[in-house]
Amino acid sequence: MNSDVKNWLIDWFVKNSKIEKIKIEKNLNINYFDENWIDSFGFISFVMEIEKNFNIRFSNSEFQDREFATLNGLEKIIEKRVNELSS
Amino acid sequence: MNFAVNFLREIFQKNKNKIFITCSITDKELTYNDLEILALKLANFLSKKGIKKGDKISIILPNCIEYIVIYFACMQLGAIAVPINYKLSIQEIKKILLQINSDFLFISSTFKDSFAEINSLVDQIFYFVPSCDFKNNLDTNFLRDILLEEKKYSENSFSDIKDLDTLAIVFTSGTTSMPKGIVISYKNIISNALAFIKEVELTPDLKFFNILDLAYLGGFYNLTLIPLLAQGSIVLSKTFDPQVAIYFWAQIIKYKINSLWLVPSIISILLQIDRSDGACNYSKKNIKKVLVGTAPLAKKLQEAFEQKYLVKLYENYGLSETFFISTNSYKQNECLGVGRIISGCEVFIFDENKNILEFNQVGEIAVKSVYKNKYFGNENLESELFFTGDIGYLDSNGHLFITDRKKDLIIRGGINISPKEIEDIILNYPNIKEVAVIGLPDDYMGEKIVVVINSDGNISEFDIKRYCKNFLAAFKIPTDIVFMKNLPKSVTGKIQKNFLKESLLREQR
Repeated sequence: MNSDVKNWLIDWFVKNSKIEKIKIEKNLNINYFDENWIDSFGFISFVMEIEKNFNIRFSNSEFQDREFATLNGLEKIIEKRVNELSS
Repeated sequence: MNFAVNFLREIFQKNKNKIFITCSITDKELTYNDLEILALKLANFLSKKGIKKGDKISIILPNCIEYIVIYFACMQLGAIAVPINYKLSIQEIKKILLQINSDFLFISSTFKDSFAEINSLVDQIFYFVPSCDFKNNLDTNFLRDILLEEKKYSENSFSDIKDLDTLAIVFTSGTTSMPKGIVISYKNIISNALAFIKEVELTPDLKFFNILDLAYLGGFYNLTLIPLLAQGSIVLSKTFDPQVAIYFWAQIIKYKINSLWLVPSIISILLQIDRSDGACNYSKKNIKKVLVGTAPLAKKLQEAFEQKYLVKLYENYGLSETFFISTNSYKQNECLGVGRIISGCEVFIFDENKNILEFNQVGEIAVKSVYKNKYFGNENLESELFFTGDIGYLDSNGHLFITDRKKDLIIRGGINISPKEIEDIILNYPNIKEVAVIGLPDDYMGEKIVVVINSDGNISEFDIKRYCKNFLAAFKIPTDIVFMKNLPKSVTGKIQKNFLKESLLREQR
């Protein structure tokens, strides 16, 4: 079962990349930068939209965290930040 | 002997043991001498394949050391390099290959299946795994093989080239749907580079970070050839992408880079992504030069970058057709507009009736340049004066200012995009009556691609974007789609893009 965060991330890639939903869902642990799912043109929009939607702001170390480059990892980072906000 | 050969030989001779390239992907280093020998050996390899002076060598690779070696091997052989951006769609690549009729193609094995359609378009194709893509020890090291296998090679560097020979043909989007090939001669590129180096005072101690695509002049001319002619060095990175943005300052610090050549969209992204103050400590002490070009730099962006990193940005202006026309000068320590006109160029400002305007009057910028290049396949239709399609003015002290653009072209992230090319594709989608593609200001990328569609059908933004993805490179995919029933038109029925632009801008505000 996908979480709200994961669904949001998958939907973003469906809308903004060439990748089919089924392929995204099967590859939640691959590095989406290496697979060219997103370019620098889209990356800023991606970051800004996540930050706006989840009301968080990433740090340099989060960007550089290896987890940031996979959808499963990014989901964890976002959920951790959202939980910190609500606690 | 001629000017280009003399100059290149002298540079390589004087700097034999100096490291010229450090690859930030593999950490491999090449000295000037390594590059020269590798290029000579690769030229020998090509020669054995029947390649000779004047033949065209296409290159479809990501940024890697091999790319630069191939450029220089072409120079050793007198062959013509034709770099092609690997991020283009297969249709776009085919358009270029059909125009150019290449004799040889170097291409990454990664594209063997996806680009299979091009196999019939080139006489000889050489697939290999570039070092930047090495996944394991079993990958064949192309450069090592060339070094080991090519035992006999000419030791007479650059012996086959004459000043007016063609070094490369670089493709850029023009205002039509067909990419334009710019034919670059040794004399033009080297003499323009030397004029620029003198004005900006580039010195051998400078180490540039090459994050621009080697398929375009930004990566090859600005960030490879100019540093080489200045006897400096480069750190070669993969082309700017999200990961390069994330690790940008970490790489600068790791490789002790002291000079940057940026484009406005990269500046904007770096400002968004770098959320610490750490880089500022490094930049203020170590960064000696920051040059900016390829697209207009917004004042706000310039100020934000200068304040955050405590460095001064020096903007320049050039076009693929003319190379550099103007630059702000370290020599004069001044930054106004896009700087003063460099030696060898004269700039005139024209009104709509082609009358020359006075200082401070705004009109179309035209340039008379000794460095002017020709278009591939259209070499006899050139006039002495080149109308740039940019709008601007000269002040009484000779500084050039760009205020607008006349030609129908979008510059997104420093890359030219033809609206016509996108319009032609969208017009093939069912139930589209009219379409206009325009560029609107974008905080990050300079301009965004906005498509205005008049349609009878039930079409969504998602449908159009997905359709475009089948034919266009990712950087050409429209940003916004607007549906409109009555597109503004002139009496002759032509869509008035200026009115359309103004009306969309008003709505945005």
